[in-house]
Amino acid sequence: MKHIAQVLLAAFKAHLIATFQYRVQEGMQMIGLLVESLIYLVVWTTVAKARGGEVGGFSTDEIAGYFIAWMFVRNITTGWSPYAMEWRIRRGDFNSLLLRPVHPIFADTSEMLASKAVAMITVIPAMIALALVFKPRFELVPWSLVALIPALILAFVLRYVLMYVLALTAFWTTRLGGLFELWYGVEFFFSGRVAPLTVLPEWAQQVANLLPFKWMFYFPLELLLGRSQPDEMLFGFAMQILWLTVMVLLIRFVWRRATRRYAAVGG
Amino acid sequence: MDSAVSVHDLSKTYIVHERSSGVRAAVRGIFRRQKKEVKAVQAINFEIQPGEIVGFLGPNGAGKTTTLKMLSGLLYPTGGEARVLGHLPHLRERQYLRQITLVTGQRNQLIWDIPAADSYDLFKAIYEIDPDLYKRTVEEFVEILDMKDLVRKPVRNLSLGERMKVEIAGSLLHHPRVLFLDEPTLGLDVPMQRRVRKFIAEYSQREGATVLLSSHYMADVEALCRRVIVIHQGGILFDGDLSALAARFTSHKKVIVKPADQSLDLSGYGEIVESELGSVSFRVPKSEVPGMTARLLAEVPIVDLAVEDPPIEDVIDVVFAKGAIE
Repeated sequence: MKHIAQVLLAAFKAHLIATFQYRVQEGMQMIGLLVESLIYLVVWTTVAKARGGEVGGFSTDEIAGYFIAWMFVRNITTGWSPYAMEWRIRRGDFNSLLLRPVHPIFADTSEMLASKAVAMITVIPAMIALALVFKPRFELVPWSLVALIPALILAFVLRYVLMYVLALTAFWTTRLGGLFELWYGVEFFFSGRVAPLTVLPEWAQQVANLLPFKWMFYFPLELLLGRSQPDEMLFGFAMQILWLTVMVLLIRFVWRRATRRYAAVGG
Repeated sequence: MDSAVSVHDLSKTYIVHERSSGVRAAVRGIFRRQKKEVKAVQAINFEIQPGEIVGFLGPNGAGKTTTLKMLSGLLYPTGGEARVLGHLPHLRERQYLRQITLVTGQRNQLIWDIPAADSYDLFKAIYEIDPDLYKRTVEEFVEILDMKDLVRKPVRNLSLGERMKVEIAGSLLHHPRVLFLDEPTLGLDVPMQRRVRKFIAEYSQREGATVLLSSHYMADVEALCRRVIVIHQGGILFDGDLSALAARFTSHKKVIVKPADQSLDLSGYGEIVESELGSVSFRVPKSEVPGMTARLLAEVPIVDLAVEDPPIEDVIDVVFAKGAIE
């Protein structure tokens, strides 16, 4: 445990240094995040206005709040892109990682966290700028903000592990574009990324409750906006823990098979 | 004494999918894929004692890299068994991985965008290297490999040779007891090759480390290894002293003569392979060397005469050619 903590810390430091080298790339990612949130914000504000100032239980200024807070939660819950993993496997970079006496996921996690930490330097000013322009309204509920911290951590870990499992399929086939696109499409719809889930028809909201995506994004976002009730919060944590258990079992299963397959076919 | 590396009937067969070219074959391939077995390594056996430096030779595709990958733990053998320091490598036990290293010519273990020194700090955590030992080791490696400025520059700004130096140093920071080196001097210029060679030799001697080295540069092997294992088409062709390799595989010696009168025609004494700067080199069957040299010395005024084994590159050519025929 101490060993893993040391690796996490050392990898975080190393990747923090590396991330600062990628100023342009970080900047572009930040602009991408800003543009995406801005598009949804404008679209849904227009819809709300056309429908008399309300959509899916959100007023026009609450919609603005949703998509500004969205940037924060989105930055926290990004994970390893399967394409990046595929590239590493194809280039043979995975060989040296497999020969280290510690699982590669730990150094990878630190790399991700370092990139998030650096991104926050620009995300937060961008959120402030948007807030000044769109004058959002949201309620800061103290208990909800306290619950936000574990909810965000769980959301990050959950999505991170899920993306990692998905990325590991690259060990079987190195042409996964189609699968990822389908996956992202489903996630887009059911996570609350394109629209607050309350906008969806009742049946879709029920489906969203069962799938993992809501718990990786919409749930912490609602806590940040102070829109959750205590019973909803408890249900949310229960779902996060349930899905996390499933994911951890899944990654162990997949990892063992993936590396065995890798070892069988050659790197 | 227990062997550091012990290999019994070790085999690796890859299953590869293959199909003919063309659209029809591609469509057929969706429903039925043709499988083909490729026997990369076939029941090889050898033992390496602790502290030994062994050269691993063979043409491209002979099975060298596959063997090194099985020994380091990246590949599962399909048959037989390999034990390194008493461990089964493919289990990749933490205790095992801490004691070995695999260096390949194209290895990228350092983080590309940051100085090597920062990646070394990460290795220190990964291998749980004692802080004092770590500091001493880095200082020492920096000194020996003359890379004081290099470890402070982002790796992406280094030349190939410079990068190889910092990579090799990084691979040895945890003081591995067994080194698997796959073409460690690939792409390096001659002085850099020499430096890396010296570094490996000194490391092995000081730490008593066992080294299995594959290289295309015979100079690497000649400088570092007394013993060589020659692998060809997945099987072992020769395992023994480097000097015995020439004795076993070549039927000729090289006789170099410097006659006092350089205008003399010596072609009657044997097959001349080279004639320059007043010296004439003959390729002479081993059994005829005593008679031929005696005759030369008796009949021609000679300034200098030497009998040599052919250059190791030529020996290797012969070995591989023989292997291909057998």
